[in-house]
Amino acid sequence: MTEIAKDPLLPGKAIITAIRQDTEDIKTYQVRDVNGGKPFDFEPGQCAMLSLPPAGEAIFSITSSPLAEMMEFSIKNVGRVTSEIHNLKVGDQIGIRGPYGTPFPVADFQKDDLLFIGGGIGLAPLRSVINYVLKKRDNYGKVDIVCGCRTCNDFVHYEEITEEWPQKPETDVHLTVDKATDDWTGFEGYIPDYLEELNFSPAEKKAIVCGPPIMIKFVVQQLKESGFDPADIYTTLELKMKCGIGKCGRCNIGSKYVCKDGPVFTAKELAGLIETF
Amino acid sequence: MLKLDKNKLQDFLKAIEEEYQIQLPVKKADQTDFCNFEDTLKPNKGLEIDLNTRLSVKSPKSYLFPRSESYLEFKKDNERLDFKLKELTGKANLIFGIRNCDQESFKILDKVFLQEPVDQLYKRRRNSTITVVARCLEQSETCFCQLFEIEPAGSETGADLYYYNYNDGLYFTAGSDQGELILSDYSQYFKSVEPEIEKKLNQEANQFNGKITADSDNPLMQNKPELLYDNKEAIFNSDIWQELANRCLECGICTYLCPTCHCYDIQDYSADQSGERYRCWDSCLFSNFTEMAHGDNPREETYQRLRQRFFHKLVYFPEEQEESLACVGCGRCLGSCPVNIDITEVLALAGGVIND
Repeated sequence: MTEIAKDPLLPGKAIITAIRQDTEDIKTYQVRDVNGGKPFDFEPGQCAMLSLPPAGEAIFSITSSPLAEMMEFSIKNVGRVTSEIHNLKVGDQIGIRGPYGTPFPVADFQKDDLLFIGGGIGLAPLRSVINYVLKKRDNYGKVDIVCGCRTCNDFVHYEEITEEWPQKPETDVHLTVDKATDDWTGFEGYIPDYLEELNFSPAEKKAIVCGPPIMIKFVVQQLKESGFDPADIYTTLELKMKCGIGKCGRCNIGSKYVCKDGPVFTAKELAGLIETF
Repeated sequence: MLKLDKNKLQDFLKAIEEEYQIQLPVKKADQTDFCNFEDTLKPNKGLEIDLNTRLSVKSPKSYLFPRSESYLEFKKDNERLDFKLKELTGKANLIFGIRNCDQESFKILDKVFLQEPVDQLYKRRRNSTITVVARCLEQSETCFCQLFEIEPAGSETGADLYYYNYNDGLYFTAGSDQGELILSDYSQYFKSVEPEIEKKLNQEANQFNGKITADSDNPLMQNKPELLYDNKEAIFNSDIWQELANRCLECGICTYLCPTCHCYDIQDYSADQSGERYRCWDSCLFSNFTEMAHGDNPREETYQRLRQRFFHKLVYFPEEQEESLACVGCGRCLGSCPVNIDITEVLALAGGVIND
């Protein structure tokens, strides 16, 4: 028997080419393949399995736009693999495999107004879509980006949020923090409260939501109450994953596997699942 | 149909051992499990080929999906990192004497592992595995394969060879071209079968295959798995899961012995700067199965995990895989559960929910 040519569990090799410390426990890593390009093509919202033996593998959403020439990951130090990732230096090699999951249907979003709502590190997958949309600005309607964090020190990609995005045509950025410091000029309060104040019209609008489960739950509920069709509300689910290809069983929810049928789901699809998280 | 005299079995197996690594049911200290034929030839091991015990304690799924399988070697050298897939070496496996429930479980595993993207680790083992099914003409107390529309006496295809274990002989028919080839390549071990015997065996098989389906008094048949599927919301939200969870020890034995459970974990093992990545069986009954690195666990409670196991087999899998249920009725789980939780009881309780 010969060695198998293509195995979905075999990682490719990639190199860390830049690291930015975003917050106390979140770093954003720029990753390229050994020849300097993107490790593989993907679409906004898809994920990649990063490998750091002997700590193991873990799945992360790709935070860079598919139109960028490299890949970026914003990674919070929470466990065994992520703490090893936080020890990486520029020039270190890692394993990478993917892309996994169904993306945000950016083609279907054309001409629509887009409302992005990101809580904390939940902005990471949304940033891939936001930067894609802003690069193809003419294809989309008005863009509103609502970001919320615990404090003003917890924003990821802060410069991009505060300096680049608001400069784009017909693009507004709305920031809120749970707890404001003296120099904070934005809103103070939870995202659902801020949304109530902003009072977006659901007409011709798609909402794209990501954040902690509890935030997603309240935001989706509120969007529905303010008239959004559940089929126009998109969110991403997070579950523990090992294989990334719908076989190891960990991310099974109803008849779906989050790694291949998600992580992007509409609120309508989630309402059809028997089990809710 | 061709007959192999039982007293020629060992010679036959020795002959085909040239081509295949043979696994067959072997009794050791009152427990029957699949084991290497080679080992049964060593007199000091106390191993005895056992073609009579209906079900091995452990399912033969491990020949397609090993309990633990190291598949990748990695090497770190300063910042440099290299991965290399491990090769599978050795002869093809021939699994002799598996029962039709286990044979059917391979079809369920196929649905999982051979759908795109194809699991290459599984595929290479699957493609080099020959199966020889022992047809059942009787059932054990814990058997309920017919509830899942599996014919215990065997169908015509699926396995490479089928045999009846009858009096002094094993009576073979082929289920595949590969099976035909074995019968013709080793024809010196086989002899023709009198038409009356062939007719008698086939009749018995047909009768037995249809027996439970026709028997409406069998309590199992009043709790058809379809009932659960049709009333899933009420059953999902019922109290039966909490009641069962009060007993469950979360030992996971049901998932390990189950021929269709296929959930796995991936881990690295290392010695300094090099090591191996392996995958191993895992169980949805363990709380760390879904616990994420940051501590959130969507199935924190035992009842949620227990419910997930049964719902995956009886509701989610059929939804995903064209009505195919992920249970073959082998009865290993109910035979081994230390607190007597069994899938037929779950079906009966679910029936109670529906009737309330």
